[in-house]
Amino acid sequence: MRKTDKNFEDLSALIDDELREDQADICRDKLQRSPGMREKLTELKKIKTVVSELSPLPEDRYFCTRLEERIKQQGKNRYLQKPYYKPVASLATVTFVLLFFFSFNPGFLGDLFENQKENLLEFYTKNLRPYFLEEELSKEDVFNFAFTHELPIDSVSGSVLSLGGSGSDLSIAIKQGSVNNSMTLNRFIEKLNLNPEQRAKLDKVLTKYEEKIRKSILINDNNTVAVNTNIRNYIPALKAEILSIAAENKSVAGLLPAGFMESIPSLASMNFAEDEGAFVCINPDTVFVFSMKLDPKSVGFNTPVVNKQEILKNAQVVLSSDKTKYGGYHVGAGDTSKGKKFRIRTDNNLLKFDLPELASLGGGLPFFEMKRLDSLVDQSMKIFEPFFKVDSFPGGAQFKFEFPFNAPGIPNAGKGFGFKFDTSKGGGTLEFMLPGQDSANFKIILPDGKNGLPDFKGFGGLDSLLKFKDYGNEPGNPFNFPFKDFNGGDLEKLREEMEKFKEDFNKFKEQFKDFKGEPKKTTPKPIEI
Amino acid sequence: MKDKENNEVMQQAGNIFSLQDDFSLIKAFKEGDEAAFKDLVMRHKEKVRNLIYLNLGNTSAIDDISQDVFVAVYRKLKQFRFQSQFTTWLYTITMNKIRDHVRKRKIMSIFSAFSGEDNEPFLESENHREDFDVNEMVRNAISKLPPKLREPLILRDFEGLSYREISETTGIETGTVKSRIFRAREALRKLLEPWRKELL
Repeated sequence: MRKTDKNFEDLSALIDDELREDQADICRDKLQRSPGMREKLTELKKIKTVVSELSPLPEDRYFCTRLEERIKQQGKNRYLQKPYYKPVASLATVTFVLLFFFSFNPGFLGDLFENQKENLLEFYTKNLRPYFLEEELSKEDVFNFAFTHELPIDSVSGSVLSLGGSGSDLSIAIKQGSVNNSMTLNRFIEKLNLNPEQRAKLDKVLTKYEEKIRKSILINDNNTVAVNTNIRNYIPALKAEILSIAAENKSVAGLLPAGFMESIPSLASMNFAEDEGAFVCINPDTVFVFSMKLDPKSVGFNTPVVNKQEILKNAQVVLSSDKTKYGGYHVGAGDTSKGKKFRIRTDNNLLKFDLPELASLGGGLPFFEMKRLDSLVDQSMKIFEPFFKVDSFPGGAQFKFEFPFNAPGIPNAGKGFGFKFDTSKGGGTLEFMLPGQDSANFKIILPDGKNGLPDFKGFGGLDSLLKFKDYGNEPGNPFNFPFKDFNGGDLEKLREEMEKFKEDFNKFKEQFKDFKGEPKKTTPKPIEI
Repeated sequence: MKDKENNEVMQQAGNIFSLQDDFSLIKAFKEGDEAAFKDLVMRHKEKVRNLIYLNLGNTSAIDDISQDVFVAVYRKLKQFRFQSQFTTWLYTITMNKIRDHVRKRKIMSIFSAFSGEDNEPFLESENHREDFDVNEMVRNAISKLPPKLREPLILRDFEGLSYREISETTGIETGTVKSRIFRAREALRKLLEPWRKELL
């Protein structure tokens, strides 16, 4: 401590009259000699005065009355305040009795827990039955599931069950919204020009998976939602079977990656029996994995569950809980991995399971083979993602199309449907003006640079896009943008193509009319180019 | 004659004084006079309430804590051994109750986004001087002090306890009491510096 501080500390004690007489004399002597000390003394005195002159709280006149009442009340509960030795003695006695008991019954506690666990498991998994009734899952839903991995679970509130993962992973998420798929079943049939025989084959595949999916998502009256971990393998298997039908179209077969056709039998073998498997069970109390065999012939298997949307919402709360990591148990009769921990990770509304013990359940296929096949299927699916590639694109081109579009119930309907392609600045923009969107337009900023627009992913399903298609050297990127020389006549060609776009959009408008009702008859505005 | 009267008055005053003395009241209570406890409460309740108020700031818990203090006094008073001042003993109980409350509040704040208290101390900035309230300002400044400085300062300057009594109440050495009181005053001076003109 500095000498000055010590002197000031003594000053503080001096004003409190807490210094010994000899110390006080020394302090007073210093005071006389030091203006700084005198100044500090004044400050300290002021602070002391400020605190000692604080006005007290207003008096509480009923304090004693309330206190008496409280003491009386506590007096009645006097029996709660027994001497300490009594509970201590009781505790010691109980401990001694328990020690004595367990020394003769060492397995008692383990058996008790095991029985309790079995009872709880029975409770949570009792009468599990399909979430989807037969009429609730359409072939369109199954087809979409192959492309989006999503199933519509509640059309009223608009939520979907999203499933993913491969090998030893399984992720489950319940999301708000509807299944979003640009490739519809009808368009698939139409685009590939499937003949009646192929259509029947596709129908059979979808029916088969409809039943598998139905039996993979279960629910019961005890708030449990169960998802078969095999469902992650149905996705590549289903995609493979759809692709094998698509591959009967020669133009499609040419686009498939090497080795795909040969792998179809292996992919089909990932197609497990849906009546048994390890089910991830989610309920508000716990999350666990349970191996079981379903009995579709049992009474009540197809009985609807009351309030199933409510139960699903509870499961959603579990999925969205703020837990980052915890262990669970994989349990089931005759299961060798019984009692071993697995890992669950939650992130937002996604629940991800790492199921190392279940990896071997992959239809007998080694893990890496499953991953390879899965990746092969994903690669093959790219043939349904039309995109065109531009090697180089000089700036300065600008095209604009506007289509009057009016339909009852569509926001911004009067604004029309538009398409604007502008490369006058840098990489340029591809802008869609959509009548049904809250923000009237959305924009895609095209890549900038001298060789702009590389690998630009466009939109698909329109016949005129096929004009950009080049079956040449790039099977992975089948669409090429062929217009490069705008000073040499390519500009005119592109305008012609855009005219064809217009026709496509008009067709789209017609389709939309059927979907949303009769649009108002309006005279189309002239097209600006 | 006059002297005799004076003596009688003095004797009566002495009796009254001794009857109202803390130790006498405690003795009476120990002998079964419940009313003596009430007198004891009446005598000290405001000091206890203010001590809590200054330590915790403006909190709705003042009444609960002060009631807890006197309930504890009621339960333990029969074990009081007259080895220290009653006030020292009372303030020790009060300080312990205050610390218990602060501890509970901290634990509660772990489980809740809101502490549930309305006592967040604050010092207004200079632009709000139109609502200047000396008492409020000083109380807020005191509540901003760390407990180890705040407690001896309040016991000394507001309750008027000696350093030795503060030492007994808080369980710290007299030398440390002296040092902490000085540091508390210094800290308070700095906190009140912006209002020097109005306060100091």
